Amino acid sequence: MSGQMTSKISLKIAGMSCASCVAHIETALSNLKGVSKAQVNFAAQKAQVEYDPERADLQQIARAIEDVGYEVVPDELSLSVFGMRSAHCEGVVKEGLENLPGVARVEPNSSTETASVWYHAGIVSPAEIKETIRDLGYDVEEKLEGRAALDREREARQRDIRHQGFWMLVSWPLAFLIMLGTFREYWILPEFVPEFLGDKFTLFVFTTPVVFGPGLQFFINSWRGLKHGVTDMNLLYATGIGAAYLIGVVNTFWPDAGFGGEKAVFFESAALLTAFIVLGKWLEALTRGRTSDAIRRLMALQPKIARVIRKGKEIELPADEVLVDDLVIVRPGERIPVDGVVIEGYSAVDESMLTGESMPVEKKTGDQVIGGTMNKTGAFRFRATKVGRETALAQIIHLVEEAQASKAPIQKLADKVAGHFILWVHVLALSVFFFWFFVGYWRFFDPQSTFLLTPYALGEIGVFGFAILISISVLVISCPCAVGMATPSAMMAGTGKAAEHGVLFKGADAIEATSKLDAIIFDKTGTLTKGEPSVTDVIVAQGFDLSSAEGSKFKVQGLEGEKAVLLLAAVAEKNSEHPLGEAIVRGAKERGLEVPDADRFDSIPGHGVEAEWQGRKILLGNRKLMKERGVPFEALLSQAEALENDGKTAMLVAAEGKPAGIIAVADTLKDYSVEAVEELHRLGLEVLMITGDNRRTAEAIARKVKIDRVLAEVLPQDKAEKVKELQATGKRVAMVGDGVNDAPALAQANVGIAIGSGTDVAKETGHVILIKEDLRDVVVAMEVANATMRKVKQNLFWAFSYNVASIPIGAGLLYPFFKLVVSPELAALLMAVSSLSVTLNTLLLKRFAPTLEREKALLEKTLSLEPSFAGHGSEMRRR
Amino acid sequence: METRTTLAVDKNTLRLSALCYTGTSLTVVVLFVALGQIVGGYPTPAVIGGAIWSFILSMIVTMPLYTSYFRRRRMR
Repeated sequence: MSGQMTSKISLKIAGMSCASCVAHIETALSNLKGVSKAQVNFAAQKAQVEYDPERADLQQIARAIEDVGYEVVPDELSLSVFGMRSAHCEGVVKEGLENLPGVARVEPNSSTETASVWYHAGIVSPAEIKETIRDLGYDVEEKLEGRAALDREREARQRDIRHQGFWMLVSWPLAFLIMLGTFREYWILPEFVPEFLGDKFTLFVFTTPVVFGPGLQFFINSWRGLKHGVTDMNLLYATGIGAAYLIGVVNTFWPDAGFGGEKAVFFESAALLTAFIVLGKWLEALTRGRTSDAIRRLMALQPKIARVIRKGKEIELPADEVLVDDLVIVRPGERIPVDGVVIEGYSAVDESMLTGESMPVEKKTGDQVIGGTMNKTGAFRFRATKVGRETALAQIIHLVEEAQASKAPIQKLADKVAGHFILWVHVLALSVFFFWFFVGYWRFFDPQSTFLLTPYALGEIGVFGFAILISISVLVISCPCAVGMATPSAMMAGTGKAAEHGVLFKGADAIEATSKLDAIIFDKTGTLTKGEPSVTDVIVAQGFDLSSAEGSKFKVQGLEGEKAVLLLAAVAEKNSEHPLGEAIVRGAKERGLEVPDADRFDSIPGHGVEAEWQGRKILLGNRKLMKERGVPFEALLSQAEALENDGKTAMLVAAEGKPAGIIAVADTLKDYSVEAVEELHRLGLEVLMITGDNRRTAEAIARKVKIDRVLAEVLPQDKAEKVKELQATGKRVAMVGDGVNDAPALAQANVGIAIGSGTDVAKETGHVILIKEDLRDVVVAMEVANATMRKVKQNLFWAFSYNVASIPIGAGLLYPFFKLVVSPELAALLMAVSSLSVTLNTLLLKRFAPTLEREKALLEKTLSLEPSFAGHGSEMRRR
Repeated sequence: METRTTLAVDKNTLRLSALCYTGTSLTVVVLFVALGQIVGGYPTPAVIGGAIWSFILSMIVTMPLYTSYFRRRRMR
């Protein structure tokens, strides 16, 4: 007997660093009332606890472990929950599972029809969790990855479309016949509708298969929910359909029972209500998948087959079986199966589907290729570096999925409303019934008035029929489906749209925060600028010429003045490891110069370098070096200062003790930095730049990019503090950085935007990740976020407006004034239309294009028109 | 020996909550019938139909409220 009273659980524990931890936990557990035995295994990081469930529970045991500084770690189960399509369904699943012993946390998401469940394996099994979800009325499967998940999800959706489509075929023809029969005595219908169709027994025969065919799903689902003590939208439908049908049955077979008599059978209400709700479900199933098209397209990019060389032979194998270091062959027109580095061959690869970059990118030996992108022209071989879940594509899909599964703060209100709505709707339906039964009917009733969309003169249906039909209308018209889907559907479409342009939002909260920004801070080095210095100016000293008698000693005749000065500097710096020296050598090579080795090279720390080439001396360095060596540079000093005022480093070059010229080196702006900042100004943002550089250099760069404010001489560790200071002024701040050095600042900002992460998206800090190194994508992120939030607000406005307007009308508020009251079938139609309008409004987001893309399209259109303009022009000239 | 246990929901909790929501719903029904008598003039089937409808709606409203309340109380 006592054995039956004892339960045993096994818990995973995190935070145990030594054997003494075992004693701590065991003591803490043993001191707990009801625990008879506690055994902790340090190696397995597990605790076995035997306890009396009457005196202790899991929460107390977990708390006891946490109180002594350790953590109870639950297992995670990712599930696809088919049919969980609203915030209310989320509540049903969450509540149903949280009541299950051993389930620690549940995070359901109706927009992706998934749920993450954290559970303690010793108490509950995945099978029990899935069984509970099935009991609640949903189909469930463990979530699959990648293409399999895509196929399964599509299959489930198709099944749902087919299922509801079939019920449509059953319900609509019958509902149409029932409507004809019910309205038989009106208009011109008596002329061609046979009399038997209007017979109440015929109507009963036609209605019964509608209620117990297509309508049965609502009864089953609501019963499953009620068994677990939860109410859902199915209950609204079931009570509406059930009540209308039952009254119809009573009035058909027992017309004297007093429920309105044989003239008030309500069969058309039950049938049309079912038909409209099934129509709504069918339309929902049709449109549901559209908002997640982007993720589906990303998943579809995953290639199935790879061509790999193993043991010297070329073999074909499934792409997910490629191993790191495999040699992979890619031919023209084939999709690249995994990430890697080109080792042989040359081609152009279309990366637009991942980065949004429309131009094909050239790939040669040493270049990275991304799995899922399309090889265009040549064939090449590459060595696989990342496979399976590690590939960029898999990481992007994961990030987008995570973002789509997350919730924006704005959604909380909608969820709260939708979550508690059903209960309040029933309270309202009861109150409305009481009001019309006891007060309204006697005060406002007009026997000649009718329900909209019903033929009954209200006088025939009596007080009970009148009150219950209004009550049913309230139940049906109040369905909060539109409120529940307003935010998640727009967020899904928005994150997908952003991913199409190479912008990855890590969550719905990131989208909302991005849409509310006041200021944006750019890190300078590596973000606004390229991050490596390059030669920007070469100034030749008056009278210096390599091809002159003096210069000819260097045997480089024929060079122009600027190239000659650059060559001298490059020769002197060739063996230097200083970044400025490397920039000069690179600059010379970029200008087509061959840089020979110097005969002798000396570094003069803090001053520059001294070299000897072909027996002559070259000096390269600062003013101090030139002064010490007596080189007369006075004539060039004003130009050197002007360069320095522009934020450049000016280096003086002298040959044979005479001034040769000045070479300016600076970190140059990235392509499109200016355009990006200009666009951000257009969006009304204050743009700042943060850098560790001195103020003069920083301001020179800021002037070029038209930055509003410069935060100069800020040490890397202080960047986060600067962001905080700006936030303290009440501004919502975004920080754009490279995601590695700027991690603290990115984390501190309201929105951290990590730029140019390429293939390592998962490792990035920040709320928004830009795959390409194109600063204009910051603008794209802003525009997508703004468009998404606009859509969310529109959706919420329409959904709330619908409910705010429809509930009073459904409750009969207009009846005292206009003698008009909504029939249950009209209520069902309105409810379906409200959900559909929200979904269709969200789908409009698919047409959204960022300014950048619109301008590009306009330019291409103009260019394509140009030849005809040119033709016209030449024609005109000829004339 | 039992390896699993129903910690959060035991039969007593369910029984207690069932008693409460059925009781409350019946109270609503009594209130409905009493009001019907006070106002007067209702045919008996209308009162019976109204009582059944009030009971169904009251059960739907009170069932999740009481169940979750008692579950929460049990967890505390």
